[in-house]
Amino acid sequence: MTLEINGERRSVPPLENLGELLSFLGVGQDRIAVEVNHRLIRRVRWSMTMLADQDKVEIVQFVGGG
Amino acid sequence: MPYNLSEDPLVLGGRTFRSRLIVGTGKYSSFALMKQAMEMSGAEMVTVAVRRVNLNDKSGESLLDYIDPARFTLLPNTAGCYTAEEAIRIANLGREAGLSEWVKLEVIGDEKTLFPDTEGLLTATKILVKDGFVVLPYTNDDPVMARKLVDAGAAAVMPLGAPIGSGMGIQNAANLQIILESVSVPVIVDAGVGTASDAAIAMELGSDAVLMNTGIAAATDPVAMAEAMKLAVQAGRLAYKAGRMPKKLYASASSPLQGISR
Repeated sequence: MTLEINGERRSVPPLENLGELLSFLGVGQDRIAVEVNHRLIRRVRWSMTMLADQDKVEIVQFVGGG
Repeated sequence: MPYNLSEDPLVLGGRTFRSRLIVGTGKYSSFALMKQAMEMSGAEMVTVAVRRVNLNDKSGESLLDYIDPARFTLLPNTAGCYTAEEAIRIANLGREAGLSEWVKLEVIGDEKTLFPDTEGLLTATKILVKDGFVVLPYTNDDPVMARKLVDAGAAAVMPLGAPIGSGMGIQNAANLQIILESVSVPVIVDAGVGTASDAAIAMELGSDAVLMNTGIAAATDPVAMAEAMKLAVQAGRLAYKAGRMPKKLYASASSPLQGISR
């Protein structure tokens, strides 16, 4: 399926849920936050959150800032 | 009893900090240098920004690898947000990523000056406070707005001393003094500090703390400047508490006028 992840369209294999997507992407899962279709998904719900074709996924982390 | 710095912690949002210096983590040439400067500064709280994970960079170096969570409290900011809605969204992402309710709230109104949009700032403060956040708003030097932010539940007010990253020093001592007299929460001078004397001036006015990033990061030797800032914040606090002598227009001899040998 195709997802829009951090503003880029990406083809990914069929995935059961958001937790699997994060593993597939190889994202360190500590200290990140994730939105699906503009809705914040709490960490505890990652493995329960299903993904559909064309979903928008936003994954953020902390970077240096003032 | 003489005033003792070590018995005068900063109480902010119900927490106690020994250091009155808060530092940013941006603009360093390397994470290693940032870590050294942060440690030298003595700060216990450091600001961080919330940005997209770069999915194409697997090199693996992460800011947080260089920040010891036992030593530093992370203060996520909403830098780059131009509306209350954007800032609220980023604050929520920061809370989820950082597992903390604290936020340095920025709602920017102008790209060139990075002056705050205080209307949006107030709106976002009200909403985030209701949502359980400890809100530290970056604001302008307007005492009326500072009071409104306090009324909205802000845990501190953080007026600028000069534009963000300008290093212009404290351009608004009179307004900062009025803010200090008119609000009951800690006042943290945020932005504008360029060198140690600027930090000392902010503290001598009675500010409760100083927040800076570029003043340290953009110095030729950031680690040395971090130490200078630590000392300046301490010196400024000490001088404020010591109570400075009144200014006088004319001289007043320090040595006895009697017994001069001629």
